[in-house]
Order: sequence, then C-alpha cells, then structure tokens
Amino acid sequence: MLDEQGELRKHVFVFVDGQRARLSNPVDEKSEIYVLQALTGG
Amino acid sequence: MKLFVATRKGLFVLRDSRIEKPHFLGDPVTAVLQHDGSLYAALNLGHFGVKMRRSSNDGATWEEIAVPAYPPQPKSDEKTPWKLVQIWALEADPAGTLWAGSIPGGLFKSGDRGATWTLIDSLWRRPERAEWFGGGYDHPGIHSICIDPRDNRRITLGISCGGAWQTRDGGETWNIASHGMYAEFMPPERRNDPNIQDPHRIVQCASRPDVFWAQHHNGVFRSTDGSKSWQEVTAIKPSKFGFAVAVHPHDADTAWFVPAVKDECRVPVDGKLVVARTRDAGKSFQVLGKGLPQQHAYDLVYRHGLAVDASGKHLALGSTTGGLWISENQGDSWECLSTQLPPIYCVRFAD
Repeated sequence: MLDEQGELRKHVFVFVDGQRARLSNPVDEKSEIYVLQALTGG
Repeated sequence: MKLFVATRKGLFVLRDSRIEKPHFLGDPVTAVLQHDGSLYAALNLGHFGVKMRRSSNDGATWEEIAVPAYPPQPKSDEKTPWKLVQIWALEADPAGTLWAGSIPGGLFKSGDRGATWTLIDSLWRRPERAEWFGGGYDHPGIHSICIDPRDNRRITLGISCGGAWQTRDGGETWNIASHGMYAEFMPPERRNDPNIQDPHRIVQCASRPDVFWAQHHNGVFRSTDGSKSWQEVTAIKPSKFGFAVAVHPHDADTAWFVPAVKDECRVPVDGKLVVARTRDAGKSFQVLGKGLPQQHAYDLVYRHGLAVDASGKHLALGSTTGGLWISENQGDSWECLSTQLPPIYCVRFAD
C-alpha cells in the first residue's frame, strides 16, 4: 500500500473510524482501519 | 512461431496462430522479456503499483521478484516524484544483466535475474534530467534500451521526452545522442535541443549496430554513425506521425512504421490501418495494407506494438483497440489473429 518514499499509493484511501485519514493520524487499540482501493477505468 | 502479447488486461501468448489462456488476466502488463530460459513480466497494478514476475517454466508458474525502487527523495524543487510509475522497457544483455527503463525516467539494472535492482545513478543525477518532461504520461520515461551486440557496455536509450542518451562504459558515463532531431512543438530557440526531443521509439540494427531508426513525435529519423547524428527521413508515407518502428535484424536499410494522421489526431490516415516499409534506407516506402482493416480502422499502434523476429521475415502488430496481426512475408500481407483483445502495449517474439 506504500510506495518507496513511504507514502500511501495514489489510489489507496485509508479511513480510521469512518473518517478519511492520513498516515500520521493516531490510532488506538480500538480504532477500526478501513483501506479502500479507489480506482476506476475500463 | 511464438509471440508474447502484453496488454492492459493480461499477458497473452500466441503459439502457432492460436491464442493461449492468458497470464495475469485483468492486470496491466507493460513489458515482457524472455531471456536465458526465463520469462519476465512487468505488471502495473492500479492500486498496488508495479510488480515484477518471473517464470522459469515457460509460464506454468510465476514467482514474484524485486521491483526497481527509487532512493529516498531529497528535499528540493524537483516536481518529479522519485516513485516508480511504470516499467516501460525490459532488456537483457548477453552477460545476463537485466535492464529496465521506467517512468519517471530512471534506468535500473539487475545482475541476479531480478532479485535486486540498482538505479543507474550516473544518469538519474544528470542535471539535464531537470529539463525532461512527460509526453503522454505525467512524467518522462525510458522506453527504448538498445544494447550494442558488439559490446554490451554500449547502450543507447530513447526517452520521451529526454532525447537519446548513450553510454560506452556500461552506464558509468552518459552522453546525449539525439543531435539532428527537432521538436516542432517547442519554442523556436529550443527546437533543436537534443535533451528535450521526443523519440517515440528507437531501434538498432542487430547486424549493423551503427544504424539506428527512430519514430519521433515529429517524423522518422535515422542514424548511421551510432547515434552521434540523426537525419530526417522525409519519404515516409502516408504520414510522418507514429509511435512504432522495427528494423530488419540483417538489413539495416529495411524498416517498418505504422503511421497515424498526426499528434492531434492519433488514428490511421483515411481509416485504413497500414504499415509503411522501406527497403532502401528510407529513400522510398511501400504502404502495406493487405489483410489489415481498410475502412473504419481507428487502431493506434503504441511504441512496442510492432515487432520483427530474429529472421527478419515475421512481423507482429498489436493495436490499442485490441487488434493483433502477423505477417510471414515482411508485411506484404497480414493475417488477423484477433480484433478484440484488450488494448495492446507490447508484442514480442519468443526466441
């Protein structure tokens, strides 16, 4: 999910407890992390 | 006859005019290479980036190998992210070293069959790279890697848009090698700048390696002095725009092109898909359409969508609208294998 610069890939979205999140967002033991692959195309 | 066909939705293999069950169905395959009993495929997965696969049993099973990666990007004004976008060229030299050309413009090599890759820093750190730009993609890319059959330390690259670059010492040092090309779309004072040229594809004649052919954004060019200088070939017809070129491995005067109307209208002229062939070093061209669609054809043939085999007799042609044709007589006539494959990125004959 991360590229060689340690950043989230272009078409991958992460949500923490239902909110769009960055990699720097804090999480705790109860956090629900949801990873979405967002890409369209024929 | 065996042919690899890399497409937007998988790697297809054509064996004796039959298309076999695809590998990596659904996944974009941007490059394929057969070398020393192994097959290599470069995938470009929409979500998870570039992946590399290798097979040692002719595609029965595949294993994941390392992906070329850029080093940590230093803080600077550079707009190009140091991130692998796509493998655009994959070649092997006789010593077994693999070479991979990429978007955004890095060249990588592997001496261990893809277990590890090294960025060729000497090219990546050239200050001229700051002037390169993307042509059709967001960032510049290396699409052609020509390894001199006389001396595998001599390598010539084609870059869109960064001209041609050449090393004579295996990648230690590099020189610009696109003098003579011109770019009509640039400001007049930069028109002849070799470092911003857009050669869409560069090929080298196996038996006369001082001869190169290029299908450039603005026309067809040929070099007879090992890429030191290039001369335009103006006799190309029916048009001078296109992406693909193939050169006969044993006859440097014979080459094939697939012209399209122009850069603003990337379809065959008059709806007729044709291949242009010269047998006299570009003085004259034959327009070959027998067996190719001659009405309502809107096929475009990408950089690696035209290939010639080691004999120089067989040609393969693959289009963005999924058409696949082969010729067994140097293009005089064509046989259609399919008109409904996924968009074709690359055709390549097996050894």
